[in-house]
Amino acid sequence: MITSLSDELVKCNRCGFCLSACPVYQATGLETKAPRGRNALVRALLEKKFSWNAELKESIFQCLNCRACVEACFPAVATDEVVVSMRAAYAQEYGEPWLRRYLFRRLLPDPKKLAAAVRKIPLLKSGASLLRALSFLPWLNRDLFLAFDLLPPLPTQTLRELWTNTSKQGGQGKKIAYFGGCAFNFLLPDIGTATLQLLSQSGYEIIWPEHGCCGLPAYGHGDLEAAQIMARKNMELFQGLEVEGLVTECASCSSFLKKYPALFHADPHLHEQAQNFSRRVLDISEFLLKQKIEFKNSHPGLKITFHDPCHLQRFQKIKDQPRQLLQKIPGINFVEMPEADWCCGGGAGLNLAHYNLSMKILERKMGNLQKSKAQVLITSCPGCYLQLRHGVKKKNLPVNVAYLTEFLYHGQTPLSDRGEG
Amino acid sequence: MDQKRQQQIQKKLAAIVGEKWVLHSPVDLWVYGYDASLATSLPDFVVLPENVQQIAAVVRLALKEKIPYLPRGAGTNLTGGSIPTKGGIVIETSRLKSITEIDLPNLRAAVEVGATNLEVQNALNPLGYLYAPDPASQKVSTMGGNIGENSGGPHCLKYGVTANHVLGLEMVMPDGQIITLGGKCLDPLGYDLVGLIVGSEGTLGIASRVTIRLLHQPQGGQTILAIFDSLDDASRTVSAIIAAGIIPAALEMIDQVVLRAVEASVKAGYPLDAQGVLIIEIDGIRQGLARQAEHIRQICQENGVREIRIAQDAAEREILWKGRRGAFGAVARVKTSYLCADGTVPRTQLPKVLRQVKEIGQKYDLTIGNVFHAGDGNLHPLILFDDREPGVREKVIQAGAEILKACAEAGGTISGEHGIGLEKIDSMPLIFSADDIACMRKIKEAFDPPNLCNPGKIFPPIEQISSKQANYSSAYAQGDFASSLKKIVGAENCWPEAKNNELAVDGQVPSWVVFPEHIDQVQAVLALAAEKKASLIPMGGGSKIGLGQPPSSLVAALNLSRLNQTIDLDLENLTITLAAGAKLTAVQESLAKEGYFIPLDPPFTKATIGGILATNASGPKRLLYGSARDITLGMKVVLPGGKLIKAGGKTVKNVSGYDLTKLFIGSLGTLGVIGEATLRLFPLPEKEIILLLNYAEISPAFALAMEILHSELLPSALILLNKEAQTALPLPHLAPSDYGLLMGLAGTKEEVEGQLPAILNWAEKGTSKWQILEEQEVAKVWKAFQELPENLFLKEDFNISGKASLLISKGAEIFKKAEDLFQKNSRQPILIGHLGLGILNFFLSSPPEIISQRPNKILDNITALRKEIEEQGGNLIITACPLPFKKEISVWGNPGLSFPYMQAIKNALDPGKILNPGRFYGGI
Repeated sequence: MITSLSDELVKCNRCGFCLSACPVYQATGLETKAPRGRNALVRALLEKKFSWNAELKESIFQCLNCRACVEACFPAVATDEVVVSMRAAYAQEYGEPWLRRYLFRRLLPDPKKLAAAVRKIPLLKSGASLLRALSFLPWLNRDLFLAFDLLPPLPTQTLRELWTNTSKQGGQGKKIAYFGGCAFNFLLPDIGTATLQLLSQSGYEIIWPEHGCCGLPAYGHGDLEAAQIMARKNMELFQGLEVEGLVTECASCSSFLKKYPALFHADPHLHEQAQNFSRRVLDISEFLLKQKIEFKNSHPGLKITFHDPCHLQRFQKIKDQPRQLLQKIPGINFVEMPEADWCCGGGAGLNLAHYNLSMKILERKMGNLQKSKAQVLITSCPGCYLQLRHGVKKKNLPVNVAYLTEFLYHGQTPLSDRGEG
Repeated sequence: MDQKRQQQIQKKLAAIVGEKWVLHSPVDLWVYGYDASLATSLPDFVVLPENVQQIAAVVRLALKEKIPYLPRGAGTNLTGGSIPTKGGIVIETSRLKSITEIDLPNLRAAVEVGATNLEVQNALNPLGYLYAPDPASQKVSTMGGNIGENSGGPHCLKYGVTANHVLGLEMVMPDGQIITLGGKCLDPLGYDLVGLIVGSEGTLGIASRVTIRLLHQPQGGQTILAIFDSLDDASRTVSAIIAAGIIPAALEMIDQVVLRAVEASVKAGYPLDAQGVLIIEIDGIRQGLARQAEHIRQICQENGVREIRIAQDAAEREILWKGRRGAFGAVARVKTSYLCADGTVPRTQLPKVLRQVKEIGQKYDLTIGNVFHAGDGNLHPLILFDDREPGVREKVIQAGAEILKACAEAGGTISGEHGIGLEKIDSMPLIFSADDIACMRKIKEAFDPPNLCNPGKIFPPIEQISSKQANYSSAYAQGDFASSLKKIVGAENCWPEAKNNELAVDGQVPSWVVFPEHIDQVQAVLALAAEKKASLIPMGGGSKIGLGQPPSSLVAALNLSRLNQTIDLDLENLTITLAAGAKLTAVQESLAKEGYFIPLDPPFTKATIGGILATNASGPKRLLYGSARDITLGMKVVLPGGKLIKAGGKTVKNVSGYDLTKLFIGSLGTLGVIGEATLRLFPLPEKEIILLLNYAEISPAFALAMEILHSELLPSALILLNKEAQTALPLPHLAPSDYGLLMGLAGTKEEVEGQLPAILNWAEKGTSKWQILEEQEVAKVWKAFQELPENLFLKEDFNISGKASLLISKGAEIFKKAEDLFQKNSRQPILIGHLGLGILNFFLSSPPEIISQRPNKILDNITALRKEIEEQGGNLIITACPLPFKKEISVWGNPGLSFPYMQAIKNALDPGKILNPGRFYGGI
């Protein structure tokens, strides 16, 4: 976490290399949507050359937080953190919409309240309705309606409910804590089930305390306080557990859980607590790679490729592990997609807030997918998963999108069509 | 700009590009007011057009409303070239980013200016080709930006800079017209506007599309990291490598300050305690690499290298280069800002200048890091500082200016790649006189009279510098022409008409022929001629004096053959400066004794440097070595009116001001009289062979030539000859066949021998008769090419010759067409097709009764051939023909749409039309 914005900003000497890496710049061609431009604007804002206005807001909020810029930047200016700081500054100046504040401070931290709220939304068959229901939220865009197909239909049971109802295999004395991300708990429980099965198969007893959100959505929107609240709760919950680690299949969750120490850099006690916590966090691919499981392959020869979620590849430097895991499947035919680590456009909720821009970025990914000639596209982040599925469907590509754990567990592409709004 | 006018203009701009693409809010304008330099200035508008028509409409609007404008690519300019210092309209090119055509058979591609250099490379890579200029910013810098700055990059040492690889431009001129300059064929007619515009920093118009030359990827390569404990050792190694006759593909130096910053960003493997490292890359024929690498290793060791590492695979190579490319960005880890003074010096001056740079750093208490193209002496001293420190910026600017001064004093120049822009305007007087700058300004004014196209760049205000040259004109206001002439050169050097009959130019005999012996005599003559409005024809050996339309007026011939000294021979830096009257053949002979040569092999044994450059003459080995424009580093030219100006310099990398050498080369002496020229030297190739193959038909010969052209091989010549050509040269031994294919190979022993098996393998498929010539025989053949036109015109009675520039892929087709056409009406024509270049030379011998026929069948044939070639985008020049023909057909062809701009240049430099009037393209 950057301590001094101005010290960070002055590191930018405007070489422009970030322009080649930023998906938003590449999709728009506008300097205000480039990391270099954002940094220059923030600097101007701090020097009081402007005050907040619509264009400045757009520049700061139309950012995927994907960190491609930081990766391309030789002095490593932490532009993603600059952006988040400015989102926080914006919220401080103009306040947060009350519903969003409620979502970040009351609902997401509290698993029971969150589950209840989700259940209160009338059980609807289509994701479209879910989105329509949310569309009155002031910070979401009108063209939300266009994003109908992004979300799957709301499942009738949460992952926790499904898990509670199945018998748990006793581990061979090994215990692992599981962090069930909101996406899997509420939207994609079948994938979550596959993950849990893999953990069981690895011989572990799964401990899954009732926790809330990891805090990333709040952080990404600039509500640092809410993120800290959620972080502290989670650290508390998992503190005393005697487990080998805390594993999750959600790349966004794992990246943020590992980032907790940065949230508390100002408080030495919390910082240490956070470090002890984050040290034990593992993304599912890191974890599974160490296990002895055999995978089966019912469609050998099928061309498979992997999309690197930003939160996995760039934030956690986990790039080889998913590929190594996939290579363990007998008869696998893995091909590398060009720009496999290029953001899918689903980052930071861009697809909900700025649908058209998100789709333009997704188009580049779809083009690369076609170039690879893969038949199955695998990824390891629920945001990417939904975005990529949406892209494949829009372009009518003969490709199946699968989540890493469901593909590993089922040994084949998912059977059921999850239905699109 | 007041609000009302602002809104009006905004509306008009929106009508052109669409409202969405006109940016005008303070936030939007802010981010287009900077680039990678330290300068900032806000524009009034930013527009993002999507095609050339929109750009043209914006320029026309700007003209009408008298608003300044400038082009912007990715804004990575390092000297402030992209900064709208006078406000106005920024024309952002990011929406013009397609690669519109890749034409492999012709080795060309057409790319819109907004595409990045790397995008172009990535498109060509999988096809096995590349675009040679590779600036370190290639990931983000656009082709348009590359054109504006004549970008170089690490590989320009061997392969040349942007100007050597750009063959055509689609432009919006400052008057709002859209024109196409150049194209896929070599040697477009008239003045080299493309060569002038490349490197003009966006001050002469806005390019929208560029036609580039493609090269095949090299067969093999090796990247070496040499680690030194002393910067002195490293820089001496650089000189030593080049002086040893090795031309690496890249030779970069990184000093400790920078390599530490880079290593913190990307683990490239640079050792942190080294004082400096060299990245040396060699490429080419695989067989030749081992010995070269070993030689390099030896030289490094002789100069105290600590360690040598060789990249084992593509990944290792990539990491070394990644580190180098990210250097400018990485130094922000040391200090947050930098000023880069990219001066260039002759290589041998590197150790001294690097020491001076260090001293300057100490003097101002500033950290200076250096990462640069050591192979061509192009420094990038990065003066590091924290801009927040009060008073530091002034120190930095001073230090930068002192560094440039040191470079200029060492015989170099003040910008190797980054241009003058804003930052170096004040340093221009270090290398250019007031007259030099005045000449460039005249050209700028010719293109852009209202000075709206990127104003305020490159040129210092004229008041700041004053001419130090004597004003010759006034001296000759009195007195008549003849007596003044005699006073200048002496009566014995001034020949009257009676003596001059052999010098008739298209039937006109000059009243005087003068033989100046000194450059200031040339200046005086040109001042006198301008004053008295006396037309002059400059000449050297007179070998090409018949080239062109008949002169509209001819008072005197200015014979420069007495100015024939070698002014400077610098073997260590591989340059030679020759007075214009020096005979190339004589110079080559004396250079050969030292083991060097000038890579030019045009015809005519008595040709002088001035004449060769003025006519852009080239010969068979242009395929490997390039043409005059590729090897001329600098010139001194006397302008009508008597001023002596300097163009270019002594270094390969030079983007200081306009590249006037490109303008003067091929201008047929109509803009100025070349007084001296600095040319590149190369060491003589260790081995040279010629392969002669016999064919009964054109197509298999052409097929083999194309196969070789599109391979990794590096022939020095690929020439198709008809039977008459083979006999006329003559080619030795083998009885002339219907068609002969001549292939040249030159290089190290291993390089030549490494290519032969592949060629012979392919050759076997089409023919069974060939022979290989070596040593003396080879020299004889090249000499025969050189002497051919003279022999044909003097000894045989050939009376018509021509040179066509055409598409490479149409080489066989046009050869056949020429054959069919010319056979009908003249003795068997002599046809020589330079298949690798797309150039056809023809020679015809026509008896008097055919010449006097009207309508004339030969003229008709030439016209028909010319028409077909022009339709491909090429041209056909009649290099010699009987005078009556010149009255009916232009030897050049009809002027095209770019002609008015050439006229404007002519008017700017020779308003009195005293030089070679009426003879050149369009009757200029």
